[in-house]
Amino acid sequence: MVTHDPRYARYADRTFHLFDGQVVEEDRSSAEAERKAASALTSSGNRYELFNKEWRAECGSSGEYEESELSLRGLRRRLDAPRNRAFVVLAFFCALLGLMLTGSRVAYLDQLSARADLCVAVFVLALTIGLYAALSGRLVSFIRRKSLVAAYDERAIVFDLGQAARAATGIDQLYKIVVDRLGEALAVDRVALFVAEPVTGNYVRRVIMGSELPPPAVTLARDAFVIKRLRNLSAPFGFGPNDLATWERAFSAAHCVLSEARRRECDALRDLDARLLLQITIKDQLVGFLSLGPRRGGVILRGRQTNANVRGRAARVCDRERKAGRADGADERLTRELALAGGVQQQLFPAAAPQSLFIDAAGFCQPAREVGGDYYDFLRFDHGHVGVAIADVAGKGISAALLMSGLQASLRSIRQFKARRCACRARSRN
Amino acid sequence: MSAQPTTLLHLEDVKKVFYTDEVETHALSGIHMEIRKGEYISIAGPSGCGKSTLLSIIGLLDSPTDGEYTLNSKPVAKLSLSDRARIRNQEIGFIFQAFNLIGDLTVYENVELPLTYRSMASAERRSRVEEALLKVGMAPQTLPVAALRRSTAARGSGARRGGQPLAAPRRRADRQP
Repeated sequence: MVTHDPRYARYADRTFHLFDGQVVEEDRSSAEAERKAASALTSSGNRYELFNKEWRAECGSSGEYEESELSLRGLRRRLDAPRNRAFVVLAFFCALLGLMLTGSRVAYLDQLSARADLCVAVFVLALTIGLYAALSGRLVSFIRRKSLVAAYDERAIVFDLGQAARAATGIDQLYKIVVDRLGEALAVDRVALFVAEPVTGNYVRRVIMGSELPPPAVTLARDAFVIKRLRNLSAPFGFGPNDLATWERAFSAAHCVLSEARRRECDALRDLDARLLLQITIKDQLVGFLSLGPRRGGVILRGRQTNANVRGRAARVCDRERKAGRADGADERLTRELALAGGVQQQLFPAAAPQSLFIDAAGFCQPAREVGGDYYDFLRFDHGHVGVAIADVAGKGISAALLMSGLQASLRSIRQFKARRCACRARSRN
Repeated sequence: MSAQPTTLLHLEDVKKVFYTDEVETHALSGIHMEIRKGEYISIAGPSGCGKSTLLSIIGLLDSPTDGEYTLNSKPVAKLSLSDRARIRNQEIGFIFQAFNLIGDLTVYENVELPLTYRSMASAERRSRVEEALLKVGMAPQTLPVAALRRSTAARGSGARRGGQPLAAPRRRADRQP
């Protein structure tokens, strides 16, 4: 249905709001539509995972890449460094000067004038500077353009990413590797990774490219316009600075709360200098996204060309976090159970010391961890005799606690046979 | 393994520019859109925002200046006119805001017309036409002028095979003339 009246638009499951030839808002009209879409999405499988499987099957035999494929990228990186560039210019200057002032040419120059060699040196210097000024921009951009072709090699990106990710020791380091490697491979200077918070569902920026420090908190709400668009698109979502201006103008007439929310959203995207947002999906849930800035060399990132495999790899990285989250849950459960076990172990110690005319006794045990292998007990025998048992099981933790509880049970059962104290000690020692 | 989501149409960075001698009008400037089978979609916006242009492109009545348009997983940008006409006839139903009915034909014949282009058997055509007319609350024999709008809806519904009919505001279909 195509209509200018939003009341009629609400009859549809999903509404695209157009403004100045762009989709500026996308919303679902009813909970039923949400359920239908969720059901459709959950039954869809993870296409990126499939891509990854295909890639692994294909790459299994061929193994690593030829270094030559990456040589242009290496050359570009080297040329980008100012020191290397200066070295190239100096080498060119020296070579040209050497060429001019050797062999028969130097004899010819001597014939012309005593200062001819100096004039030649100045000429060579001017020529070098002139050539550098004329060619450096074109040459570097040419090499960049050429090297960007290699950067779009999905296999290279995914392979590099996989190799680097194996070295990560923590999830934050893993995120950092993903962002840095993708930025380098796609020749993008501004890359940021947003990850969904499990509780609120909002998307928080976790890491930005080239920064060791945690980035300032930037959050995109779960119902943000770009998030809704990312959920409903299978391809990445690309836009430009003009689009942001259009969105802001479109929302300026909306309700003040919505307008303010959208303005903040546009500001966040503008700060990121975002040009392309790549979904990271796991089982068709949008668990995060990568924000890519403009490419070096002015080449435009196109959504469909941009690496379903790369997104798949990034999704696997995020999946590791989910698993790590589950591991955290398991750790928490274990800690809780250990605390309970510690309480039970305290119950095994005697509640009160025996009353006797000959001895004042008291007992206390403070294990180093939740449970431990330290043990003491008071054993009552016939005729008012009192036995004291003190033990320290070698080791700590659960294994020691288990042995300690077994020892306590053995001692008390032996006492029930009314054995003598020495016999009791002898048996327990054995 | 679960099935892939069934995307009916996918538009990526679709642009449409109208050129005149002096003016270059950007009707669509980068539309990204994905619609799955069975979804009921509306496109809303103020006058002049590009709704009708977008609808024309989606309905294969016009071609984008730039961008990709995939219908049923097939790119349709380079299709010939006859192929586009065939897809319009078999896979897309239109309900126009203007009647666009043929005055010399009855409502029944108007609804039947797109089916005749498919070389469909007469009996099947009849059953499809009756089904479509009943769907919009019209018995095949009744022909009130007030039902013209609904007959256009029936024609769109009868013609389509796969997707939903593309429609101008449906509420107006029930408006009395």
